[in-house]
Amino acid sequence: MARMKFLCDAERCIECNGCVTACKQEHEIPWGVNRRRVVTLNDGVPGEKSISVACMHCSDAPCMAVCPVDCFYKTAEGVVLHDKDLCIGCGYCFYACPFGAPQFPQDGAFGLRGKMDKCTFCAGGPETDHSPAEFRKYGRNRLAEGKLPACAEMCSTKALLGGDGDVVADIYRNRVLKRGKGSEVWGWGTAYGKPEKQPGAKS
Amino acid sequence: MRCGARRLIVGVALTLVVAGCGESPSVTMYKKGEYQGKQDTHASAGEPFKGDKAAWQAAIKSRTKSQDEYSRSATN
Repeated sequence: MARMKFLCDAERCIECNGCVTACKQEHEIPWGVNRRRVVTLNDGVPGEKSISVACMHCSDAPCMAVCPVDCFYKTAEGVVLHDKDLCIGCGYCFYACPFGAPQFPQDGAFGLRGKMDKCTFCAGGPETDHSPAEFRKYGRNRLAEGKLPACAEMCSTKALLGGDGDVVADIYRNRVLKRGKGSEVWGWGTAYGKPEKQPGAKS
Repeated sequence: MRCGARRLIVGVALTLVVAGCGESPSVTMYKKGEYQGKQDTHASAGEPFKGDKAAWQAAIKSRTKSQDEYSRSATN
């Protein structure tokens, strides 16, 4: 049985936000909601690292544990999904999630918190597959079409990998063994040269 | 008078002795909740795969493998 996982390779991510755009476009996500976003550490400093973050579909998901209305469920492939008809928008899942994955659309003039929205691993939700109701509430169901999440498939440097966890781990292991380490890896060193060879660089 | 006082003392003593019996545990035990929403179908149940789980898994696996450019390129 496949177990769906995301993996973001910080050595490859170039902070292009292609994954964010792909996700928003694929599911027609409303303004103010970002199911996926790119976080950059040491922004602007040589050697900065970016990582694409969304729901990690945790094996032991804290959002599921804290939900007072038990609207979360996990599919046979380990994708954490929820029923929006049951969600009361309390925000407990937001506080419990270590990745800040749950998002809340701001409905109305006074910022009323709507029902929680998060990455579905492009697996839709508890509605008839490919139905308008499923698309409206959860977005497109690519998994039911035999496709992987749009963010991973759109990633230009293949920093973001998604799919069967065993295969993803094999790809990453092979990549790490072949590319070496430090500035040899595909990323900063390839684009700008080794830091010690840059003119004016402090030794 | 003396008998009444004795009764009172015995009554208070008995009350104190059994006072702890009615105490319920105050530590909340965590119980894993059950999903209360609508049931979802498996990803392979829809139109392209028509319930063929093996075909769906093969499609996902091949799609996942195609993310590896080392295996796609001829030099590696």
